[in-house]
Amino acid sequence: MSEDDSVAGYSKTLVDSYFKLPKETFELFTRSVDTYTKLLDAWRNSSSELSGGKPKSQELFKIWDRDFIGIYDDLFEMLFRPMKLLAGLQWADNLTRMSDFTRLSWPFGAIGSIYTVFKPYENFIYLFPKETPQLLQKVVNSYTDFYEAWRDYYRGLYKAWNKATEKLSTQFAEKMVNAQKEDPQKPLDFGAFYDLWMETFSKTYIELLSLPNMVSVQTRLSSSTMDLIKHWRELSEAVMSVSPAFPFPTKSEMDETYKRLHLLKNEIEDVNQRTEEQPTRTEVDEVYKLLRVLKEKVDGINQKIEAQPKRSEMNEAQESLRVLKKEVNEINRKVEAQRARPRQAPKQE
Amino acid sequence: MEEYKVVEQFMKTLKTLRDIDVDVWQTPFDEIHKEGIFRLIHYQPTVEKTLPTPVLIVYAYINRPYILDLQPDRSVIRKMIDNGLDVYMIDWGYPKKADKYITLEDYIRYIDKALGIVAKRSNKDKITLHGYCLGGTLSLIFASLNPEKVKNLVLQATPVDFDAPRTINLWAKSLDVDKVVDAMGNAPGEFLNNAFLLADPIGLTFGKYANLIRESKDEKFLKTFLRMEKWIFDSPDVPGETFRQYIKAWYQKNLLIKNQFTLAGKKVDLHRINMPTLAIVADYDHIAPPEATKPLLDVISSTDKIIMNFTTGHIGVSVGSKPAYGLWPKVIDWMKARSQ
Repeated sequence: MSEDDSVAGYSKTLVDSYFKLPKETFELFTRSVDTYTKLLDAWRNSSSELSGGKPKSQELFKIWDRDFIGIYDDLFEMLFRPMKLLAGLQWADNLTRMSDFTRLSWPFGAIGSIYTVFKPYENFIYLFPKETPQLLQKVVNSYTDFYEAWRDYYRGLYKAWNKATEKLSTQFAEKMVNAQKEDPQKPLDFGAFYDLWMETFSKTYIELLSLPNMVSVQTRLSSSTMDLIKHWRELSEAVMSVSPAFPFPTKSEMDETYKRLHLLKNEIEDVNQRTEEQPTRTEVDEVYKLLRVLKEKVDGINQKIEAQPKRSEMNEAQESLRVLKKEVNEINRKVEAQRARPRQAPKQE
Repeated sequence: MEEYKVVEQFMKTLKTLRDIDVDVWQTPFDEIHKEGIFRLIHYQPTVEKTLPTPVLIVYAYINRPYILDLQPDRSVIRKMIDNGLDVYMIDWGYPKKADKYITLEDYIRYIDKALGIVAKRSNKDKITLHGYCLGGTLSLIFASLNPEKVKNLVLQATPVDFDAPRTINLWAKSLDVDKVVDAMGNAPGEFLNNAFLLADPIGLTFGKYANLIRESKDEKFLKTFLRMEKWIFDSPDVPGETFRQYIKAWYQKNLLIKNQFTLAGKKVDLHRINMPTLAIVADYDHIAPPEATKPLLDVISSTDKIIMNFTTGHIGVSVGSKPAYGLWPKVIDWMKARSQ
């Protein structure tokens, strides 16, 4: 046994590969070996049913339906991880309790003092801004929509899995009988089973995912996921906004900066373009120089805000953008003045 | 095959994959212009005298352009420059959060800028524009707005009619794109990649990898496989506003082929395409199927127009061994004949 074939050698190969290969390739390849061995197991477990050469499709279905479950979970894990994470988030469990508050369905005045009633929600009432309940309600609603859509989607996929298993059992049983008729000495092997499995399951899912009702569930799923992300962000931003200690700008503030930056870049480009249409002159060279300096400043701001700035840095960036905007306007004014001037023959340099 | 043999084969393949150094961008080039995340590159010629009309390649913004230069023996770029074409390419880069507000207008404006730079360097008024996938759609828009600047138009696997019945089109049509952009900012590359994988979840997330376990593959095969994997999962985000714009106007309303698409207030009239036009289509293309490209030829006014089709897929056109010998020599001959 070479060093590479030892357990330590295997571990090293796995760790090295994890760091070297694209992470998706590593995950899909390692998952595929697991799936492949599960298929081998399923094949082996059905050997007694298959050995007679005349398998019953119902019996095959029973065995494969049981053995394919693990494969189903493995296959879709990477694609649906973001959904599973959202659906299983710990905070999701707390949402129900939180939503009691937003729906005002807590037992007001039932027992004890008012404070006792408020106690579980005191953060919402005394600390957070007043729009918190409405924002929270949106999170709860979108979570409910998301969860329902995810459940329906998952159910649709699972139903198709069952259908494909059933189809495979019937087709393979028929194939086996036909093969026996042709050559009793040459029973179908794992290769034939694997090929039919691939063909059946691949076709089933390609068809399923373009069916109108499945497309509609998928649209609901993506919409509610996006709503959930958006409303959760709005809630977080509202909560964060009350804390002076929180040093980072919110996404909405960052967005505003990106927008201004983009507009400024375009304005610079626009001035640049119009300047290029002028004949070469010292004045134009001057404008180019100014534009170059401006572009460098804009790139500097760009780099700063890409690196998760603190709120103070972002405010500074916004202030710089305001100043730069004025400078661009000034250059623009100059260029326009030059363009409006009657054209002279270019000077001989 | 016994289980231990499966694991053994897996480990053997994994070890080979681990030891392969994947190189892409095979052909040497110089970066000749940069603006934000966009850049223009010029491939170093391999012949003493290049053909007079340069070629500007415009790739899609949803993947990386090195698919045309993925491996030495099948590089489309290498073939072009070895045949005397003077090749430039736009690289749209990796949009960051701050690039959310980049729009289709910005892409078209940069094509104009790049084309101006190339034209000036080569002392030519018109050049050959070669667009691939959605880069082809951008090239088409540019050519219809500026026909006087384009000598020849090559459209590779370019979707123009977005009503073609394909799963990806169906999903794009029903997507609430405003919600995606409002929630995520940019459309994440991973999000788009998952959609492409979902088009055939069993084949693309399992079958492809299981094949590496079922049969022993040589290092050359695995190197090609890894290059492809690198490219597939090297997906840039799409700027949010661009995503909003093209999904709505192209996929959902199909405005382009109807001659109803406007950009920066200007109508994109495909009838204004009057230059020689070559459309390359792949029979098994599930992203830009032949029926998504072919209607274009009925709309443009060019008299010199042709479709070259090949039995392969969207990516196979660029990296397959058969197109390398059966398709590209013809495409290059077509370009050369119109590059004097």
